Order: sequence, then C-alpha cells, then structure tokens
Amino acid sequence: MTGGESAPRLALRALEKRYGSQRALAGVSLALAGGTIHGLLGENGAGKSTLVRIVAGALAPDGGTMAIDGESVPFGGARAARAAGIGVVFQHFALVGALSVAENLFLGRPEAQARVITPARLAAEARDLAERHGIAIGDPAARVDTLPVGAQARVEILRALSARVRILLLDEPTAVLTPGEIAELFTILRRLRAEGVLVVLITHKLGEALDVCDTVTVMRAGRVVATLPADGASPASLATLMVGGIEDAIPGADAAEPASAAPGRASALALRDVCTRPGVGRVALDHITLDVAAGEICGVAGVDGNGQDELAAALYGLLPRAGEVRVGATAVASADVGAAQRAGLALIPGDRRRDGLALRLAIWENVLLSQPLLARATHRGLLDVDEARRDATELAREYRVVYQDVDQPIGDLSGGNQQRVVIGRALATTPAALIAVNPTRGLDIGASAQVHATLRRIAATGTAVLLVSTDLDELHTLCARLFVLYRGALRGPVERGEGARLAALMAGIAS
Amino acid sequence: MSRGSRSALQSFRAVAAVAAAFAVSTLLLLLSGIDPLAALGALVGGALGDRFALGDTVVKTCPLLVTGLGVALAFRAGVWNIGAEGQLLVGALAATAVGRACGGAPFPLPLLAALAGAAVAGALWAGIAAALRVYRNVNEIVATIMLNFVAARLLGWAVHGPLMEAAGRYPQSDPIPPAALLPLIVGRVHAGVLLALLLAAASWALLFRTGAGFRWRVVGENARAARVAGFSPERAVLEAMLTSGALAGLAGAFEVLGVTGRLFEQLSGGGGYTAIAVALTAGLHPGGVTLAALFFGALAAGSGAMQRVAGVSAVFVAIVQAATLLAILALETPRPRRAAAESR
Repeated sequence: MTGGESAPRLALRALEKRYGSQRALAGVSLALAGGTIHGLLGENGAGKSTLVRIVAGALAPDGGTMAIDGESVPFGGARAARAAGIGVVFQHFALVGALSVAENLFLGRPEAQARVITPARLAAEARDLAERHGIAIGDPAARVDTLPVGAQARVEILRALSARVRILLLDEPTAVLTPGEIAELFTILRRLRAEGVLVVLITHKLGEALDVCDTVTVMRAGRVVATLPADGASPASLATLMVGGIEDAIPGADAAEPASAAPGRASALALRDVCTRPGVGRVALDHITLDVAAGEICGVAGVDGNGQDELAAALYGLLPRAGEVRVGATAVASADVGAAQRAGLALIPGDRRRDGLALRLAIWENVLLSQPLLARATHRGLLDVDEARRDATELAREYRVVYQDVDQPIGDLSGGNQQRVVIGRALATTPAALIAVNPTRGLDIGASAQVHATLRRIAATGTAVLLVSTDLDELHTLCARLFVLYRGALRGPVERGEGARLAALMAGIAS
Repeated sequence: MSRGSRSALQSFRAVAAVAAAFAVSTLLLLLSGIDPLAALGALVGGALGDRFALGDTVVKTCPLLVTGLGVALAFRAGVWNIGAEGQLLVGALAATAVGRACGGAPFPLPLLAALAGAAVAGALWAGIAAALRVYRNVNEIVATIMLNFVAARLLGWAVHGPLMEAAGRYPQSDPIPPAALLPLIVGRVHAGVLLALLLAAASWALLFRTGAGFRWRVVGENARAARVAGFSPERAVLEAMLTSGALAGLAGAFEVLGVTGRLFEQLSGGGGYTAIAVALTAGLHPGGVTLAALFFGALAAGSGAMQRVAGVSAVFVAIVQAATLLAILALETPRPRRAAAESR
C-alpha cells in the first residue's frame, strides 16, 4: 500500500442513490489507495453494483462527490469516466459475439472510431495492446463467441485497459470462470497493482477476496459496514459481516411465531432429485430433494443467481427438468405449466413485470392471467367479461388494491398494488402448494407486512408454501425451516439460531 | 387512462394523421402546379359523389376490410403477418378452382364450397409461416413476405396452365359459374360486403369476448407472462395466424366471386399490403379497421376520378396512403420495451 502520504486514488464521499422509495446507496464514503487490490463484498442488493455503475459513469447519483488523486471528478457519463482513467469490466461481458477480438477491443476506444480502419490495422493494434499489458489474446481475428469464457474475460479486461487506466473496476468477473482462469486473472490483477493501478474487485466469493485483495470493504443495505485489511480477516468473519444481523433478525417474543409444520404431517410438495441440464437456465439444479408439509412455510435462502429462478421455473413447468415433483399424491410432469396448475401448484414470480403481468391490459384482464382462472371465466369458449370484472373488483377489495377502475391498465398501478394483484391471482385458485419468489421485492414496509400476513394466512389454511427469497429477515420472520441454494444445490436445513452456519452456507464455505 | 379515453386517443391519432397526410399532399400538388382544390374535389367526387361512386368505394373497401381484420388479429397476438397479399391470392385461386369444379351444383352450395376452400387455402398458406416460426424459429415477417412472391407466381402458373381459359388467349380463367358467385345487392355491391361486416363483428367478439382471443392478446402483450399463466405462446401464434390467413383467403374469394367473376394475375393490386396500413391506422381494433378500410377504399375509388378529371396521377393517392400510415406510426405512443422477441 502506498497509503498516507498523498490523496487517495479514489475518494467517494456521501454517495446517495434512491430508486423510488428504496435507498440503494445510503451515504457511502470510501477512500482507496492506488497500487492496491480492494475487495468490495456484500449480499445481493447491498449496493455494490450501483456503486460501480456510479463510478463508471453509467448512473448518476442523487448526492455525493467523487475525487481521483485529489481532483474532484464530476459524474458525467461513461466517456468522462474513461477520460478520468476509470476502466470497468461489467458482470455480464459487454462483448459483441459476432465481431472479432480486434474489433471488440476497438469498440473500447470511441475516440479512435473517426478513423478509417482495416482488419489488418485493427489486428496489429490489438496485438500491440495485448503485448503492452502482457495479456494473451490469441488470434485477434477470431470471433469472440468462439472463444472460451476465460479468453473472453481477458478481452474484456484488455478493452478496459485500452485507455490509460488508473482505476480498474471488476464486477464479479470470476462468476463464470474456471479455477485455472481465475488464477490467471488474479495474476493479471497483481501485475496491474504493481503498476500502481487501483483494482476494485466486486465479489461475493469470500475465499478469493481474501486470496487476492489487500483490503476489503463489506457493504450491506446500501451502507459500508466495515473496511478492513484482508490479512486479519477470515471467511467466517466476513460472512457474518456480509449477511449481517442474522442473530438480531430472528424474531424475539414480540414477533409472530413462524408457521411450522406439525410433526408427521404428510408432505404437500415433494421434490426428489430435481435436476436441470447445464445450459438450461443460468444455473443447473443439482439433485434437489425437499419436502414441504401442508401448512408449512419452507424457506430457501441464497445469494441471488444460485438457482432460485431455475428452481421456481423447473417446479412450475417453465423449464424442463429431471427428477420427481409431487403435489399431494399427484406427480407433476416436466415442462408443462398446465400440469403444474392442475396439480394445484401456484407461482408468485420473482419478476412480476416480466413474468406476471401484461402491463397495457386492464386490471381485470391481468386477474385472468392464469389458465385455471381464465377457464373459470369462460363458458363454451365465450369470456364472461362482466363476471371477470366482478371477480377482479372482489379480489382488489380483498387484497386492498388501490385503483380507480378495473378497466385501467395495470401498468398505471404502483408496484405494491401490482404485486397485490399477482398474489391475489395466485391464491384465487386455492392452491395446494405455492411457490413465492421474492414476493416483497421492491415493496415498502407496509406492503411487505401485508404480503407476509397473506402468506401466513394461506399457510394456516393448509397450503404448503415454498418461499424463495434473498431477504433473510423475511425468511427468518416466516419460516421455521430454512434451506440454502448454492450453485444449484440445496444445503441444509438450517435451524433457527444457526446464523453463522447460514452465512457460511450462503457463501459456499460450508456444506 | 380508461378504455374510453384510450379509444378517443386512437381516434384523435387517426384524424390527425389523415389531416397531416392531406396537408403533405396539398403541398405536393401545389409544387406540381396543380390546383389542390380541383384535385381533391375530383377525389371526393369519385369516392362519394354519386351512387356509382359510393358503390365503387364500398366494393373497394371490402377486401381491405377483411384482410385488415386478419392483419389486426395476427398483430394483436404479436405475430407480424405481412403475408395478407399472398394469402388473399391463394384464397382467390382456391375459390376459382372450387367454384369452377362444382359450379354445376345448385346455389348456394358451390358458393359455400368456394368460400370454404378459400378460407382453408388462406389459412394453410399462413400456416406455413406460422409453423416455420413455431417449430423452426423462422422470422414470420421474412417468411410471409417470401410466401407473397410464391403465391403470386403460383397464381400466374395457374392462369397460364390448369385454370387458363378454354380459348387459350389470355392468362385468365374462364368465368366462374353463376351458382358459385356472390349475389349482387345494389349496383356493383355484392353480398361479400355484408359478410365482411359480419366478419368485423365476429373478429371483435373473438378478440374481446372469447378465451382464445384473450390468450392471443396476452401473448401479444407479454409472451413470457403468457407462458407463466399457462397460455402457450406457440399455440396462440398458430391459432392467430391460421385465422388471419383464413380471413385474407376469404377476401380473395370475395374479389373473384363478387367483383371480377374470374381469376387473373393482377387481381389484388397490393391490397394485402394496404391491409397492414388499414390495421395499423385502426389501432388493431376491428371497429377501427372498418372505418380505416372505408377511408382507404374511398381513396382507391376516388383516385380513378382524380386521374380522369383533374389529370393527377393515381400515384398521388399512394402518397396520401403512405403519408397517413407514417403519420399514424409517428403519433403512436412508444410501447414500453417489451419481450416481443422472447416469445420463441
């Protein structure tokens, strides 16, 4: 570390960013020295990616300042950030698959694009750049989509370095790399450190953070929880900081008792060796076996992107799967939404706007967005519109949806009211088992409490609820039994009070 | 925004677009040194001036209305059927073949058979593109456009070959037997016009009062949400395309059985493409399609008179049509980015 004698390479002061009523960043201040590798750790939603996007100029903050080497830098878009010497490697590589390596590198230099170019010249420049940074890129004329992911990562990093970079931000670059490729990446990062570059590595893999980083910052819920040298830290201590408040989150006497299964009750939702093939969905499910009893709310925790969406989709017939799924005594066929619905399964999708609503259609039409409900409102093929409007009005009243007219497009409603419709619709079929994915994501406290009450109520009437959530408070409030999804495999159960073990399972450092 | 104010907005768009189109056209006429009042007067006179003009407008409206309905249904389901032209042509071909084959039977059996044949032929023609889209993920826009060319060549082959008149002089079929023709109601106005209006009402009911139409609309709005709801987007695409093609096929039958009485090559004159403008101008609503078809039908009817009386080329009417469509599209509220491409 160079520390102390001069202004920090990157100084962030009191960064604020809001999305609606949510504070993605709540006054984040950081001072990071050049010639170091700094780890930025945190749960999904902690604000890491928001922070990176602000520094990279992809997002304007609502407040705060940024200075590089003591010089104040305005938040002025991606081009200004590049000019200030900031390079970024985003989580999902921003490479154009159909273009060659050389062409992709060229895309990183908008200032050079006014010139006439030839493939030979681009290739020569690409080789030059690769040599200068000691990063092997192979054949510059190769199409990027023919390269292995590790090679794509090298191209992406090289592109970030194509301008003179003082700060290199990498947003979870190792997520898709093999161990060998990760080691190679770290070698490159260490060399950049030796050249005086500040490397900021965003990750939720604690082991690798401790392996390569000099210092580590842990974020939670939009705030910096701690900044500490990597030397003294252990994966377990970081995990506890990262997941945070696990012990506090467990409700005391004042909170309602989580719904729990009566011992010996038959399982209402049974999974046996549920697998998906690699390449189907982002994460392959790995032999998931689980029983949810009637009346139980069973929780599945996990850092986002560990197979939560795939699990819900595979159960609900949206993805082909192997293994057995039963609702009560009924076996549910793979990749058949109708079969899942007929068996008594309902889904509250994690992304309601994408998977749960037709935003330009009326509220009453969105209430019919479910084959069993449409069938109920249809007589001999004819849709009973008046009945559908009445049912929608009834549902809106029962779930306290705030609206003007059931004929208004559902896109006009707030997120919380949209979610009330989605939940009411899922429960309108009185399902035997309900899969709820992040049912309170983006909702304010009041709306979230109502959703929790609804889930408890439905469980009390005998529905088996599988609650897949990244919100640990929510899981602890509602579930007696918790499992953890990590890279498509289910671990656990975790009993209440085993906070440290939960954190370790989520971080993939225990099994 | 309620449904009432949305349809009011669409009406406003249509009126504003037509006004803009006529403004552009007036400017062009002035630049060409033509008196715009005389030209537009001839246009209106040719479309609405007397019984014959009105009849001509109604007759020209009919195919635009029926193909426009078909296009609107497909577009509502999020499948871009640009193939109304080809579906219309194979419909006309099938109607002629069936009508001539069983023209000896008593009325109305040959007529019904010819109409059914046309609907089936149009549906199958559209079904090729639908199957390519659903089973092979082939873009339906490309497939339907290509099939338009194939249909035109197929028709050309038919009137030079198996369906060519016995005299063998012109590339056209012999007249279709009277028992297979649509009866005339008033003047040149044939019974197909009444059927077209019934089809408009039926299309409205299909879209807004049946479970199938509801599924199509959901698929068109958000195919992912439709899949999660248990509505198969693939099934909706197949159903909507077959229905769309059947309507276009019927439009072709109405032309040969109600207007021309025989099959020949330049039967449609691009009506299947104008149908896209009709459907979009109408905001993909069957009621609006009826009005928009009438507008485009009147333009078509008036263009002849304008050419005769004011010496203005019929191309001018094509400019009005195109300007109307562009203005409508420009006035369209941008859709939220939605998962149209995700409906594979």
